[in-house]
Amino acid sequence: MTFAEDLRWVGRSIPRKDGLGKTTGDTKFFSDMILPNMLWAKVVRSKYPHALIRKIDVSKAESLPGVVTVLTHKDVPGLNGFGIVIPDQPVLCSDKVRFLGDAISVIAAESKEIAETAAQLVDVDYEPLPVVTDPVEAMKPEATKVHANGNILRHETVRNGNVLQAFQKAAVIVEHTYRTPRQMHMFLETEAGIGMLDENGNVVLYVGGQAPYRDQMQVARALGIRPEKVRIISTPVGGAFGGKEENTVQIHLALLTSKTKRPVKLVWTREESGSAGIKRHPMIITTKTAADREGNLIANQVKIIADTGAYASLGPTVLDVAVENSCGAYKIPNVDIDAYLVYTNNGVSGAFRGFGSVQVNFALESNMDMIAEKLGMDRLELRKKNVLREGDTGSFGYPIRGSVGVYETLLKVENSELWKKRLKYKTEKTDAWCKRGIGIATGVKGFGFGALPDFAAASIQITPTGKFVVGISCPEIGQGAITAYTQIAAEVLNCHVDDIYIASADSQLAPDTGTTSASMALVRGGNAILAAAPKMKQLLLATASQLLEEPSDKLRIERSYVRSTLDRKKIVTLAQIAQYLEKNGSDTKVIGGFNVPRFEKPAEGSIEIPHWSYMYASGIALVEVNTLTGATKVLKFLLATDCGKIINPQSYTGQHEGAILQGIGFALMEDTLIQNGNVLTNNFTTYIIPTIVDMPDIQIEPVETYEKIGPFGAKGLGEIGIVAVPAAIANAIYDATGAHIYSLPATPERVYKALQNKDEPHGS
Amino acid sequence: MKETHVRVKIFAAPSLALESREITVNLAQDATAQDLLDTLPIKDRDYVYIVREGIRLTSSSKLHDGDEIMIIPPIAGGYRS
Repeated sequence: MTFAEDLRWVGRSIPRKDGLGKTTGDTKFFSDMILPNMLWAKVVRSKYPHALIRKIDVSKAESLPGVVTVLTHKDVPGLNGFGIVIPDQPVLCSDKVRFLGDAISVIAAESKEIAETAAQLVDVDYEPLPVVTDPVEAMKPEATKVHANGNILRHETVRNGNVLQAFQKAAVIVEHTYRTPRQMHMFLETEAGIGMLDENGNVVLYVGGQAPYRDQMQVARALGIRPEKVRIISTPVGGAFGGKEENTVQIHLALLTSKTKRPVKLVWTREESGSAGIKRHPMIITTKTAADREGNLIANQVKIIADTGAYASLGPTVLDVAVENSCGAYKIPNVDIDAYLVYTNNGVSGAFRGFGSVQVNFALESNMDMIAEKLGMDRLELRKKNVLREGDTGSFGYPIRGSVGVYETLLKVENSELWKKRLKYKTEKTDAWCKRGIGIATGVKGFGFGALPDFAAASIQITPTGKFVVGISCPEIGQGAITAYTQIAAEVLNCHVDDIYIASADSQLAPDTGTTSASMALVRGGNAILAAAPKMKQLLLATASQLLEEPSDKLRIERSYVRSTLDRKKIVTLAQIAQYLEKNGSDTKVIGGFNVPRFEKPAEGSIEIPHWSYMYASGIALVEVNTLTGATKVLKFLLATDCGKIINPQSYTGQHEGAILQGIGFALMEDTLIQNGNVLTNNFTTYIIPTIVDMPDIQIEPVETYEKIGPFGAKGLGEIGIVAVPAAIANAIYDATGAHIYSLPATPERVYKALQNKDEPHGS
Repeated sequence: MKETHVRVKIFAAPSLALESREITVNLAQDATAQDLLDTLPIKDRDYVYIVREGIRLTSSSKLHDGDEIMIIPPIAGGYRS
């Protein structure tokens, strides 16, 4: 298939619908909201990273003037557990705590200060237990158990072909162990929300989250009520990046507002977000990659140990995506992946942009450069020779169904000035003790839930003013989704973008479109709009047929009215149609649904491998390393991506610029340091993220392919921008200095040490 | 009396008590999504998604003869531990 021509809205950089309010500060986030008669909440969290609870005494806190209620596990009427994959995290702990963020009690009081004081008065008698912080140690049978069934939450093995035979035939084998950091999302708005009851006693939660309907289920299950009794409104969101996909404040707010019958506000402090919030899984990845003399990749054997912390959250699926991406965007006929998801007392790991792919990409792409060097082959040529093409069979033995533009992304790198004049760029440097290098990397990530079932619905309603309200539940988390939805809806309904209003992220106003996750919100919502639009057109034509007394096949929708093709003077406006429908008590809303295509069965041993289609990227970085200090600066970064058809070029570029900066943070500076279960870096003062001074000269190059399952040929684009960034930077450091980086972030200390120990393959 | 035959695919934890993940269920005419759930040995039946043609059904949604229904747990996937 090819791209549709003469598109009026799709493919244009129209201004973001949410842009003005967020830029001027007029947008009110939930942490800004104050309601009449509102209470303030505070969570009492564990003082130990691992301990038994002997007794919880809330009497002193309850007696403090201004305290309205103090809840413990005894006040959870339904399931005292949550977790998207496995509900193994207590809403309020009863007998054991497993990390410092574990919640023991929640308090509602007349003021924030009273709530905080009361939290200090909750008396918990602990019996401390040995703390498990090293995932390798945690895997040993004699290790202290974080959960009763042991610390290995999931052991996943996925194989294809015969790696041992392939290794025997290999011309070159590279094997190394890599370590990746516990990256924190550091969204501007911490986990926050307000809970209240409506006039019917239903729970209403205004919460910055990524999945209104799934939140609704988790809240209802904990309260022991039907989901329809819970309404979730999840927009606006002050940043998420995956960190608000899990339940955060939702259930606690629902419990407190149900008990007090008053509005309750809960905003996590930055330190609380740092210790109790979700992080990216740190991984230890041993990758053994083999190629023949011609540079064909013939085998990849990978062992992954992922630290999921105290609870599962989305860990099992993160591990699955790591397994899938450990073979990259390449066709490798023999693969053997052995992956472990391990409980420790190190916080909780879960969803984060890239979802396991960033970590394993760093390992594989580092090996790729070493293979090229050993073979005496150009590193770009090695990648061009091995990347997937349309119709190929992937490394796990499944056909690649979606469009594949990864080769073309490499051509963008090859044709870039940075690559063509790389020798010139390398010779330029700020000071004599600085060295510059060029690094490249290629990445891939599936969009959606792979072989898991998934669906999406959207509604379209015609209003009495002749405009359209499109209901979609996926929240806008800063990625530009509602603007893209507006463009798609305006395109298919043949109207102006100003005539579209997106009613998003409200479980009462919009049908279930699924979650904003897995780079899938655009594909889910866009396709659901495409499914609903013909129904709306049918409704408009059928109604116009009655009003104009013409058969509907002789009518045409033209912008704001319906016109007869037999008599062009016979028209009826969309507003008149909507008013007529309302007057007659007819429905003015339609709903369209979309079942996401998937492989019926996952690869043996996996949860969701393979995905139906993938996004691809290739990046090239220019870095400068100060050899006296080890400090590394990324000077230039070019990123070429295949995200299918680009709905809004400005949003596409913005997403990728943000992803590159987040990738630089992962590569060079970000890591949540946890010592004996205590988070040492839980604020912007100690957890350093890139700022404007770290922003390189960025160039984004689109490779537009037509993706059959995407709206107008689009894929997702939220995550792919980060995947290849850390590996390209690490490879550039090697190109500059000859020192390999095996552990990220490549802090000045690590780079300096690597410079001193260039010959040690397992330098820290 | 005329019956409503629906084809049901059940994913992940809700399918644990069933021999097969794909079954055909015969229901009375005008049966609802809740009627369907009531015929199945599904744990936590209040907290599953019932989906037809990409659209979530409510418990009172009417089923039609020939419907293809998916029953999915409300998780990111369908992890069957």
